[in-house]
Amino acid sequence: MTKLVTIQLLLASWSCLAVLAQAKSIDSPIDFTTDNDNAIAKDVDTDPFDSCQIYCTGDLLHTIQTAVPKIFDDSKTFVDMKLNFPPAKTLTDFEALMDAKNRTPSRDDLIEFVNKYFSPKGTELELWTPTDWKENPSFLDLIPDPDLKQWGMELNNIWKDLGRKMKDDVLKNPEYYSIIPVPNPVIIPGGRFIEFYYWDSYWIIRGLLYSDMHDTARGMIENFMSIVKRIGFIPNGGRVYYHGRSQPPLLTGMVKSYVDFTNDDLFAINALEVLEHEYEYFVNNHAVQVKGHNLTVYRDSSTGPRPESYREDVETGEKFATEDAREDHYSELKSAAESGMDFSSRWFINENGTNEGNLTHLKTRSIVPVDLNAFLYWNAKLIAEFHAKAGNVEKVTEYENKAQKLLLGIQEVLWNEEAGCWLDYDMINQKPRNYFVATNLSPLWVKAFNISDTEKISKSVLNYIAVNKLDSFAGGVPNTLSNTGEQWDFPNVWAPMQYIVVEGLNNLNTPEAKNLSKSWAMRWVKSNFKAYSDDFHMYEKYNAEKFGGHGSGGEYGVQTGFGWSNGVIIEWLAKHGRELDNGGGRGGAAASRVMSLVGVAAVTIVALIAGRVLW
Amino acid sequence: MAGDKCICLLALIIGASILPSICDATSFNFPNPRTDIRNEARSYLNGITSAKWLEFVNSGLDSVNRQKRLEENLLRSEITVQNGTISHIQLLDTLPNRASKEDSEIALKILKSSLYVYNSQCLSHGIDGDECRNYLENIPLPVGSSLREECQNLLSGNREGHHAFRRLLEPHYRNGFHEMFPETGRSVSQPPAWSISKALYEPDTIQKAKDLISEEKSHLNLGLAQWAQFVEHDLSKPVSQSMSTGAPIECCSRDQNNLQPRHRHPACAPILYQPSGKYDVPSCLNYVRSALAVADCNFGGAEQLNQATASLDLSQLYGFTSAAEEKMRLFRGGLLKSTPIGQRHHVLLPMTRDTQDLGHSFCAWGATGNATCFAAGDSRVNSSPFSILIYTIFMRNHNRLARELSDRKSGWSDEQLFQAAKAVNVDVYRRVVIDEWLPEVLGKKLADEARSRSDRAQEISNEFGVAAIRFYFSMLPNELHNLVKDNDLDDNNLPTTNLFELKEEIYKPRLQYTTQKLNEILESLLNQRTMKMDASYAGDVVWHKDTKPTHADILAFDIQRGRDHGLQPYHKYFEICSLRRPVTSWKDFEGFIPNDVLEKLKTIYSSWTDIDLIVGGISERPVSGAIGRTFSCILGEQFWNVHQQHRQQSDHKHDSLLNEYRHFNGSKLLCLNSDVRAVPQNIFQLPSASNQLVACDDVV
Repeated sequence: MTKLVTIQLLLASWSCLAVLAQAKSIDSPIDFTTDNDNAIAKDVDTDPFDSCQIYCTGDLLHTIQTAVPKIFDDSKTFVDMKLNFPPAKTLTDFEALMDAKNRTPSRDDLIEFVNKYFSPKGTELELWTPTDWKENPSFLDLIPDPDLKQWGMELNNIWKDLGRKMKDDVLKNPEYYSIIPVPNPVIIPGGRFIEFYYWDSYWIIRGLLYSDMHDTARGMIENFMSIVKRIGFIPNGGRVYYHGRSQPPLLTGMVKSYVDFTNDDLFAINALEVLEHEYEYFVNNHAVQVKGHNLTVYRDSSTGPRPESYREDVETGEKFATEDAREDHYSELKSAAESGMDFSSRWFINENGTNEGNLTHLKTRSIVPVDLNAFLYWNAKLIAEFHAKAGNVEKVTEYENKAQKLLLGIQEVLWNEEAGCWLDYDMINQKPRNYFVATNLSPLWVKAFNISDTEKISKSVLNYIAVNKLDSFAGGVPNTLSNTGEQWDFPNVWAPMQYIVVEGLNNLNTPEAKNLSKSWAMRWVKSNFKAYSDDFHMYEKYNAEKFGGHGSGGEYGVQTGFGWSNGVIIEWLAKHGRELDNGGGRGGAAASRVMSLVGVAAVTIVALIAGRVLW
Repeated sequence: MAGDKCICLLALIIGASILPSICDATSFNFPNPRTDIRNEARSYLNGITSAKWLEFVNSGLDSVNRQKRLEENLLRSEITVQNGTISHIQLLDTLPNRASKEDSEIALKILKSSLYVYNSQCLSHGIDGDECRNYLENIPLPVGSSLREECQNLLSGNREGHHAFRRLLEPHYRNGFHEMFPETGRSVSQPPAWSISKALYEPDTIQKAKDLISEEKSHLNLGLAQWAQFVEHDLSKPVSQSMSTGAPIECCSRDQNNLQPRHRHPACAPILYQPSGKYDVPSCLNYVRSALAVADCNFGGAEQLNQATASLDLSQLYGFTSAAEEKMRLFRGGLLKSTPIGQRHHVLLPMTRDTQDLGHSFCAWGATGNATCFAAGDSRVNSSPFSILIYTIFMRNHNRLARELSDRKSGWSDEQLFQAAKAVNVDVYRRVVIDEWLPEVLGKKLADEARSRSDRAQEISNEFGVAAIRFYFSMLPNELHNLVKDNDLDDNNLPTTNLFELKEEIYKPRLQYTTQKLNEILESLLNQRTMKMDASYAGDVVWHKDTKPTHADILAFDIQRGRDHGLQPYHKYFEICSLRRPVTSWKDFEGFIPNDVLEKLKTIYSSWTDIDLIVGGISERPVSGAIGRTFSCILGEQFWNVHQQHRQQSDHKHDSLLNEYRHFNGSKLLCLNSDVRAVPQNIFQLPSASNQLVACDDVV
């Protein structure tokens, strides 16, 4: 409790945010009654962050990001740079440059400007070794296989490399940075993702909890809560340029995880106001009506291309004839980014109502996603559960009701009897989208189905899995079966999706489903281990067709680190470690033959040294 | 085969180490011990049910089919080779025909199916790639699978004009099947191809100065390099993979940047270079992985396709298939098509517009419609004025022979005349290559050895096609001086004018081609010394600058292609060909590779085990011929097989006719098919006291 107060005090001292904090503070009542009808709350329109004038839109951003030839290989680099002068001066001086250069500055002019007015990216963050980091977290005791145990230790070490703390200057002069200030240090995903991300943090936090790092986990949750208090929702990630979009809402799930590990019910009870706030705000800003049910879609409330992928968006935008069509396209792009699946054929609707096409066919806002609605159902259930702990009977009923309404919508709109699974719904063509996406199975994970139907659902879902040959991939269950070149399509496999599918099947509780769940979990662990053995990397995404192969596609190269992948492996090493033995998988036959002679110890030492050097 | 027994015995005694000198009868034996399969691996894999095998094939087919959707997206985004670009030039060097594309697609399906087995069965059971592949190579595609049928139809059909490259040594892939080793990463990585080429480059002025003061000045003229390229065109053509629609694959953006990952075709392995500047983005040159060939209807790893035939048969002129040959024929008097020019009797090659070709498969012109573009049996004819010249000479020779025969044998049909003229033309060509060119390249002793009998004629080897025969690029200069006898010379006795700059002419014939022009080129190249055979290429064939490239980098391309084809590193060949014992340190290369080059290689490669075959090969000091020992050995082995191929193929139909032309040699070939006044006795050496000029008027 005292901690929360401290945070609030701290927050109040940030002048730039103070006004907002008041406006959106949960102390002042916000009207949530006018839900649905595509309402986007007006207060999101005004930029809550001073530095947004540099990093979110405008001439400066446009000119630098679209320079020819390009100045930065990755568009995200520029928007992560620190300002050397106040935003206003920077803009004025840039205007002067534009005027002096007849509004067509050369690439060299721009480079000169960037060099003078910006500092390198990432300078606002410093490496931070989590203070609660343990050398031998208890999950390691659950892994008898020495190779896998060693790997577990190295994954535990990686937390130290992914820890980041904001410099004091960020709190003093937030307008010089694109980073969103938060009170506590964080664990970042890694690679180009040098700040915290919303839904990534769910799996990171679970990994931290399994690694006995409760303080770091709680700190990250409290960061998110502080942001909800300031702006009403949690942006996609910790940068001001994500101000118009969130990500799959899993804050309540994070709190649930924390409470499960710590039995700190009070933490959940104290979080309730914020969790409700986030829930209502999210539902309010994402509502649609389908077949008489209030459901939700992914959306964005800002204008213009994604600042962190500006050049790429402008490029696809060029395919559209009018400014309005372009703006719509940018909205679809950003809404897809909100889903976390940027990008995927999951969000394509072409003229014929199929998923064939490319980014120009994005219709994210017109597709009712299984996962989002299942997650919101779960949020409502959890909020009710926490209220029950506090004895707030009325609130329990209120949120149980919300959950039941959502469940009904999920059953009637998203469950598909023919396919034997849940499917996203296409509002334009008013039909279900019968394409495999890993999230089609997400209701299993959050138990968004009637428990009495378990047997029947288990049978249908297992049949759905067989029909789609999902068990045939050595590298895990692909996110979709369409190979489009986008990163959330075939053959890429993502740890969080693997987690949702595997844990979901386990929830079905039938022997067949449980067996499949376990075999997929073990296969995932072994495949990740093979990839790690090859290059000492954990990847952001993997490849379904390759045992131990990393993913590709999309708009940037594959990233390493990597928060959620590590989190999922740590959890499954803890859960299945006793049954996992790495039957010579490391480096194949030659290596295992050598290893039987030289012994595991030597390899361990090498790996350890490598680990030290690398991280 | 005796060699095989010897190898088996050796393998038993010393496992993977090699001692070839004990058992090779000639210099060309490549002992190739295979990775053995452990019993436990074998018994696990033997337990896979036939239903499972069928499943793997189906998964492989699914995978290939899924790729089509990606390709549709790429084409919709216009990610394909555009006419007139650098990528277009590279494509012409590796242009696949339809039959190759079909072959490659079936081979890809087999590879993908094999990879499903590897990923789902081998890897998870501790069976590594080489072991897995060796096992699978003996497993036939399952009965009842559509793929098996497709494969058998292909092999039993008329698989004209292309084959799988042979391997001298086992493939060297990261996963044992097809995956290239990464350029970055922590466990196994190798330096990027382009940075190797850049590191080996020496400024042209320094190269020239070195050549001038060199003690061991080469006596060879540019004809040697020209003929090397011509022979390469005849024997070896690795071609690029294509999309399933047949469209060419592009791996770089139009401004020579790396593509977004979403636009990267799985067959892409672009050649990238990251300049050191803070705001420099990587430069990109297209590299598409080579088309695959079906080796047999078993599972297994990747084999590359050679869209050429394994004998010296002038297929580069006549075409590798009968359909291609038809395009080149006039069907009158046994003649080949040609372009008449002026009043002289010496004609030029036919233009592409006369051969039903739109021009984009022979020249890299952009929109320009009326530009000069010659046609021949191979897409590489316009690769430089050197190649245009030699193709022209053989076309003229054919037509000269056809007319001669027509005068002598009245009543012969077009077909008879054509076949007879072709037979003589090919025979003349063979003799010049084997009797005159090869001894200059290999030295007399090795060239003689290559003529010894062997008991079978094998296909073209990967090592020959993508490494050894490519040596000639080291000898090419930036420009051909005008060395025609009466041309002005400056104070240093150097000509004041050049006939052309190489980089301006690659697949873009800008010269005004006339009979006179070809004479000048011929006379000049016979009088111009080759650049030194070494590891630094002329600036026109590599891109050594940090700016965006405006032409290709041949060396980087060759390095990349060697890796694509899974060639073993240089030292493996060096051990067999040169050192004759296993290499243990950098020191072992001393004496074979000049010290300054060796020092350079040490800065490029972190280990000698990583040196690419092409890089090691061009770095070696030439021995008795024009090239180093390792390349000599690979070339020698190949010609040994080519020679045997000639013996086996001979149908003796034109034997008596061929005998009448026995006296025909290189100098006569050049004299009779050009207007030069004199050529050196040995057409590959500079004229000198020991290589006197022969007046063409005296040649009849």
